[in-house]
Amino acid sequence: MDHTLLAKLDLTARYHTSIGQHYMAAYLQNQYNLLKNITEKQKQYIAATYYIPGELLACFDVEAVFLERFAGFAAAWRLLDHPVARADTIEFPADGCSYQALFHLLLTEKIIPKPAAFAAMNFACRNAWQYCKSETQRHYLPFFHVDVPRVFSQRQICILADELQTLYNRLCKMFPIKAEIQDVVHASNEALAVQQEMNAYRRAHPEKCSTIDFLKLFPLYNDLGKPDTPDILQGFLKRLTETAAPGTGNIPRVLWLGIVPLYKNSLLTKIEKQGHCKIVWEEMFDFGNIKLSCDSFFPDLAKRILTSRFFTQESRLADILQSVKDFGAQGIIHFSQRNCRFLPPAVPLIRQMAQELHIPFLELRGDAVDPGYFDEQAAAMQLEQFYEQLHRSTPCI
Amino acid sequence: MIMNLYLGIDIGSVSTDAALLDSQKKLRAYSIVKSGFDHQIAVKEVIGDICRKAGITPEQIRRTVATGYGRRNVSGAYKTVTEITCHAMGTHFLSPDVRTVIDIGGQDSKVIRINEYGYAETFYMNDKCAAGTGRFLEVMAQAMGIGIEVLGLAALTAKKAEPISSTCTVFAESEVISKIAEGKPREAIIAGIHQAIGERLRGMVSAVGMRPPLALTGGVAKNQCMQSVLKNLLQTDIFIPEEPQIVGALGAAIFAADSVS
Ligand code: SF4
Repeated sequence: MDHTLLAKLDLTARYHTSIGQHYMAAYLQNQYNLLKNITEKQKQYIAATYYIPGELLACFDVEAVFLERFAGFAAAWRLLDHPVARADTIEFPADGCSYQALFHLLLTEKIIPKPAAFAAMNFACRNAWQYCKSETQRHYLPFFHVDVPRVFSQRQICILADELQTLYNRLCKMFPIKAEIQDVVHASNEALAVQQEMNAYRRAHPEKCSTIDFLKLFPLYNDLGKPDTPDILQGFLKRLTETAAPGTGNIPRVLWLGIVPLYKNSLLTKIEKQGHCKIVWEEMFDFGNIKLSCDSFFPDLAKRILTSRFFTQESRLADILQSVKDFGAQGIIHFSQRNCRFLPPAVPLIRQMAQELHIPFLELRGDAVDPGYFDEQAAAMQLEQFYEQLHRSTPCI
Repeated sequence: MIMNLYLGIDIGSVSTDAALLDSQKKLRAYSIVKSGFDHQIAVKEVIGDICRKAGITPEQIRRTVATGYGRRNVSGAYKTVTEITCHAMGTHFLSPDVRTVIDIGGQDSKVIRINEYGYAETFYMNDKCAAGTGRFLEVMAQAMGIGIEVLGLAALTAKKAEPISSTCTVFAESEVISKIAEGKPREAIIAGIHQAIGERLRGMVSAVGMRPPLALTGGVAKNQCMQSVLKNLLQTDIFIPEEPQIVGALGAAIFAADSVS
């Protein structure tokens, strides 16, 4: 087994401790422990896609590796060069998503071992779902899949709740129970309450919060239901309120939509500096506001998925519009992931909305995982144009 | 003696263009030279040429605004403005009704929606890949063994276009080579190449949402086959400036003139 990822996690966790970001260190330490468990201690794990509820997996004595998060770590530390091209040579579909490509490489390069099973949802995208399915077929592994209905209604909540319950029952047959549902529910609600407090804080003091910090920690969504997630979030909140940077004055406010190139963490800071603007909001660090209850554990989890801001384009657009108004945003930047059919298809509508609001809109296209697909020169050119428009525009909101 | 003359310089990847306006914003002269590796040499050359044409000395120019990707290499420029803003303004100056500009440059192409004041409202740029740019045509011309200047005319004689399915320059080039080997008519292949670029540009236009009237700018706008392909695909008339290559420089010259008034 290659231990590079383990070493990077350890080093980064220690670095965050040294700079006093204990919440970040704790988050990374958890991932380090997980990786150590599945590599050195050879503990079984389930490879899961982003929307499989963390609470459900937290009930069992099995590790849960969320594909996107591990691919994200590997991308951020540029663990494997040219992941898309490399995955292509091992028959990964060319139109597949680079998140899965990189996860696939982590497996084939033996940086992480083979999972005991895959658990996938066809929401947010079918790419991840299809990848998991083909991997399970190839290696004769169990495949737990959850079909998410395409529309929101009470009936669909029941259908999805049944699917989630079935997943729980199937997992029961394969892995011992580690935590009671009531403990998981308690931890999840506690985490959710802190997360909402944080979002309220950054809504009230947008100029004081660093948006990139929220983008770094949105994968905590996958840790809802774990006992130490509320503490990690509390630490984040504490740091936010205690050490928040001084206000930036009257400079244009910008919304950041979509994900962020993981190998380019400094991008947002650079944009703020070069464009004399403040990125006041991103949309990923939003875990919804559905509190779980022990009596309706599965319907609540189902409801959380079906009421996610991303569930329909309409709900996402309504949220974006609301955020533009709430923050008095004067510009929008959308990062569109290559080959992704989840968030980028809404771009024409967001562009239209921005036009109607008379605020500039920029779509930066690239690959969040593979730097080879991010055209630095074109991005710089487009950003300069955006800055020009930003400082010229007079929004009529 | 300084005269009320305003210079716009657009340094692109392939050519460096300049436009000179007088105080009435009348075009006094323009010049197009190759950009080469050293932009400062190109700037010197283009200023020398335009001054010669206008019968003035460089010292007589009141203000210069630079645009294009090499715009920071114009020493003495009053300010720099992005090429999208300049293309929008230059087109607006030539045809104030235009609301969508398709600019096909050497290395990139853009679709710009402009407002009634000539400012860019929104835009879409192709990135990374050369499909839909002058570079694509250049590579294809080379593959066909034909001069880029006559490519458009050759395509106009085709009875039908031979479809080129790939928009990636590398793949399209090998597709073209295999079509030549199959003995497909040369004009049909060239027409197919134009069609492929047109399709790509149509996608970009629909990404920003087409609002007529349309204008086509950039060096490739002179290509008659490209003009007709786009007219057909977009089902609309397209305004082509007399010298589509200097629109960015013209926009920059307008900003130079406006900065004084
Ligand atoms: S980036 Fe898009 S395609 Fe890739 S896993 Fe996420 S939703 Fe799916």
